Amino acid sequence: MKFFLICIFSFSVLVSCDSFKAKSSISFYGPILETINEEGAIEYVGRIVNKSSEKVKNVTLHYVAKDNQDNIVEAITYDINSTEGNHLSANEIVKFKFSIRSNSDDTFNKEFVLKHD
Amino acid sequence: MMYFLKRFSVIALIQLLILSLIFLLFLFNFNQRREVNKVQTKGFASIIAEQATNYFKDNQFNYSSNDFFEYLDNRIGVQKLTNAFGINPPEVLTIYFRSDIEKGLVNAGINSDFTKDDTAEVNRKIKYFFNNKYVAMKPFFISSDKTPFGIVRIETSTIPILTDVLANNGIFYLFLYLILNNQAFLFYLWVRKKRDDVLEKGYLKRSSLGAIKIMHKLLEDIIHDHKDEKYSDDENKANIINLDDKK
Repeated sequence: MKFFLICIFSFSVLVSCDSFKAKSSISFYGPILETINEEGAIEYVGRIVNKSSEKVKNVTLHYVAKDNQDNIVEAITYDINSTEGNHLSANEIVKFKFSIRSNSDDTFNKEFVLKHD
Repeated sequence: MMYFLKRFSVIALIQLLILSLIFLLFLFNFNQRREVNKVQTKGFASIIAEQATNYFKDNQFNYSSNDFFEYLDNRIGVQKLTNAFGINPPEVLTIYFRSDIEKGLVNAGINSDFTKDDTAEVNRKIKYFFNNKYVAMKPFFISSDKTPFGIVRIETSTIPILTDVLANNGIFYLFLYLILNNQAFLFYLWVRKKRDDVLEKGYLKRSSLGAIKIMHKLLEDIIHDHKDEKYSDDENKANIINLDDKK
């Protein structure tokens, strides 16, 4: 009985450890470049890739800027579109570029999250 | 009740000791990986700074972020380079110009000599009781000026390292926990056997023996107090008869 319980416990740890690994069909292709544009606003340039073998629809990029108290300073949802419409074909790479209004001085942490249907 | 409480506290203490040992081992593994990440991030910042120098020498006045991004990709293949980081590639590469920093447009987290300010809040992120953000900075120059034209700032998160160390070593930590518990139990058995050997010398517990010794001393004192009293033969006989009756 004890041996059986130890086996179940070991297996559950194995499964929970494996679940740490993220699995997503879309991801950023390389890093995002952050610069200050001529208007003095923060600008982001980057690329997104569809790693799956299937078409992915309605891809959105969510950007959240937070201050030192972890309060949201600015949040933007940016639609990612390919030349063919609002979807990414298999292994397709698309570029994006957007700028934000908030001052970089207030931004302590930034989060980029990709979502799709 | 006290006996069980004592036993329970000993067991809890041993478990705490074993878990502390495993936690120390985990911290050692995690720190090793974190140091590798620091070296990689610093190296990556140096490469980007070198490319920024080359690019801005020619494009100081007609700069565009798209153009610079393409330039980096053509020259060094940014994607392949970031893949070398493995589990925690830098998400954002930041280029700040000295002019923007001096105007106060950006909070780069640097000292007046354009080196990294380790105490700046923008360079830290405390979560799960430790700083899980590492920032590498490298100034770049486009002429022989002493002041840089700008800085390259690269942030990496150490949270993926933490989860990866746990995912890779979770089973090892579990088995180590079981083995150490086993060793603790064997040690307990060894200690217990030694105690039994001591008890085998006599058949009474030390506390019982102590009580008998006290009683013996009391009886000796009583006999000593009454040794001068003389009884007649009848009284002696009666006492013996009484004793026989009691038996």
